[in-house]
Amino acid sequence: MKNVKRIIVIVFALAAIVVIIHFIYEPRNHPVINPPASQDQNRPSREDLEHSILAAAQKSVQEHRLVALPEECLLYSLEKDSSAVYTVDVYENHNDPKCAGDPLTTPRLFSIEVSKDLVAVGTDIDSTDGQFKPFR
Amino acid sequence: MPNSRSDVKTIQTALGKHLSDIGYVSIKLDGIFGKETLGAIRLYQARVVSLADPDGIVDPDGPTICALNGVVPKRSSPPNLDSMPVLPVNPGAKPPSQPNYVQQFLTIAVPVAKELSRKYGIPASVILAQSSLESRWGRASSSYFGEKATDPRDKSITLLTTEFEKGKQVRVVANFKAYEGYAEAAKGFCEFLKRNPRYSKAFAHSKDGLAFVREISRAGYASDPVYEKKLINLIIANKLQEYDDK
Repeated sequence: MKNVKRIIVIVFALAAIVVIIHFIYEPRNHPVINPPASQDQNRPSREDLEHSILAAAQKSVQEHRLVALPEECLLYSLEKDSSAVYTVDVYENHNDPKCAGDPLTTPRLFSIEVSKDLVAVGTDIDSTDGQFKPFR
Repeated sequence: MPNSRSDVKTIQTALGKHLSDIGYVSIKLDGIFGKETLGAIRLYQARVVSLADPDGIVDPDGPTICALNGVVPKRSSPPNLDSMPVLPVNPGAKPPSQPNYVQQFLTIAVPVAKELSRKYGIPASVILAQSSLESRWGRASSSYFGEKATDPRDKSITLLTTEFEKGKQVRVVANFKAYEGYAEAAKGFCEFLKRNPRYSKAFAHSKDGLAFVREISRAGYASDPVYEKKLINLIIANKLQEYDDK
């Protein structure tokens, strides 16, 4: 009878040990749900965004043949306080030895508006009152 | 090929939005390309599009339809001195309806430009045109004039610009002279032109803004071949010559 009791106690002890081991080393086979990526992770860095805006502006200058100066004689600058659209000012570069013009001046030639989805949408190149017109 | 009625009606409708530009009270929207429509197109081409030879022809991608629709035409070549029209000087024409920012800019700038004009012999129209072009009528953050800061003692605004070298973006720092407000900036611009021998010929035209602009452009203030015409058109369209001493 004593032996039966011992066996029962041992069985219960072993079962308890198995249960404890199971909880400690539970296999992680249930699906792991990652938290959704925050918007900041998806958003391009300020530098990448600026790069894309300037590239869109430069592309429009070439496509629409807006100026007769060589590429190295132009400078592009993104306005800081762009709201509904980004505004890129295009200046003459008189620093490069290949470019003509007074080295003491950096005249603005015109500006390009780039939409939030990074498409050049208009310019004030022929404007006499500063208003932008859309590209055809 | 004859004009389709719907095409003619489209042009008549577009012209109807620009009646004040051509001095018409109304225009028939009948789709018939008659004398009235031809005359209206020619007037529009002369007064607004500034075509040297207003022919009454409206090409699908031409300057007339682009002007009527208020879009920038696709150019087959970059603008040059011959291709860019100069607006006709029309002293009797009504002053243009200007956006608020233009009026605000002129309210501040005109008295300053007139005073500096008398002191330095630079036409007020030139000071006004130059600063409005450079600063987008005072809305750009860089400067009122495109004058570089070269002396380390100069107060300056640093602008991070980008140059494209074979498609690659290269950062270039541009330092503009910084001034406290329009009056100081305009004075700095006048002193810059006055002390720089490059621009000395322009001072023979101290009462003729258009001639003064031609001289400073030729002297290399800018190397864009149409910079001179841009300034001249800006002066004419905004009637800035009216602020010059006679």
